[in-house]
Amino acid sequence: MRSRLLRTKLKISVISTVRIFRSWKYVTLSVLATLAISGLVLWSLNLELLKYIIFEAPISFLGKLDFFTYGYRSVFTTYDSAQSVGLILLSVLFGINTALFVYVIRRQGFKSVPKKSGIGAFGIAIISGGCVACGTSLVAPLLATLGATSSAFLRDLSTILNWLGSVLLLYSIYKLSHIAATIQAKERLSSVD
Amino acid sequence: MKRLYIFIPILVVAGIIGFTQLPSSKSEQTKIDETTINSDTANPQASVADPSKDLIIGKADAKATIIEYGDFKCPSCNQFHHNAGAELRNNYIDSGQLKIVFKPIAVIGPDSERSAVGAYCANKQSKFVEYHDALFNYMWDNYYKKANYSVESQDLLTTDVIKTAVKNTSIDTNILSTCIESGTEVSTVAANLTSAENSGVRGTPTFIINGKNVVGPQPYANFKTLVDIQLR
Repeated sequence: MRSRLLRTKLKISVISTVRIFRSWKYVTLSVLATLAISGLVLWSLNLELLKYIIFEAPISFLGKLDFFTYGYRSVFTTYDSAQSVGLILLSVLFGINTALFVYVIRRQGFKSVPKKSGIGAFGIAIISGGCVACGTSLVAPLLATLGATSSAFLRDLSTILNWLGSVLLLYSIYKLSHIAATIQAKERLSSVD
Repeated sequence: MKRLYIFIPILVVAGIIGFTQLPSSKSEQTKIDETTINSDTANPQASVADPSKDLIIGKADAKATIIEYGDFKCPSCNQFHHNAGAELRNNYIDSGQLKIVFKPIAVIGPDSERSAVGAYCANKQSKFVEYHDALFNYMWDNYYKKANYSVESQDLLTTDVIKTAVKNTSIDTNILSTCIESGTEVSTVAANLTSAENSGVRGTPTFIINGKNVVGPQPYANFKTLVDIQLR
């Protein structure tokens, strides 16, 4: 009985999300948010370098663009497979979450938005990004004194945070899509009236 | 909704201002650090490193320089060695345009220091590059290629293991092991860590190119862009 209810809820969730993504505006927003969060994670430890490339480096605009985008294109060669898949998953979910978030607040305002899950996932994404991009760290000895056995811990931590962020985002998407489903139902009813 | 329309542009503008105002003190420090490998303070990039003191991959008088802070136990450093590092060698180092000045720091396992000391010991035999490649390849072939990162925390690179790792090189392993055990280069490795901290290095691998810190095993194309800027 419970699994049937859950299946129905998930179905409602998927249908309302698909309805939102019929609009190209939300698809665009989602893609932009995906690129923004993955860019933030990929470049989080090299912001000063990025600033140099954009504002100071004596290279063409295309060269600057190429430098920036190569971070995305090389994600599978730069990081190991668990890290790169985790990063892509988290970014795509973040994009979907952002689109749903905007859809809901455009219709019902901030008050209707479930508070903690989305923000928590965002914070976790940034922290895990720092770990993903770095791999090992000078803070390892400090962490060791605090109980972490080694810098391998940081690598594992980054993967764990990445996946935890994805779970939080999934939960946020689930909640937002249900609010969206209610909004869509109301809109359909009012159009019938 | 109106609040959102006001909030988002404010956030974007604040982000751009914050980004452009990022402190440049770190790059000033890194420039200072680069001068420690050469005497040409007017142009640190056109540096001539000292092969008797510095661990150099490439020709000491190569026009372009990358300073690499790394740890032989660091998987990301190993990733760089096998990807971008290999391409840089083929395209820039072998033709004498670029040198990498390797500064080993001991931040990972208990054997990080031993392997870093070994690098300076191998350099005394003028065999640093062979040692560097042999050690990274040993860790890659036996552990990191299979994503076995749990060994990071283990005291794996004992003197005997280091001798095994370099057995196919022309390094005299008896001289090497005596040198490692004597610990004469421990202070040099410790000095590298101090210089890394002063240069704003917060993890390995960190590269200093054009006075900028480049963190992590970046793709070859990005290193290429930065090296090409130096070569102009």
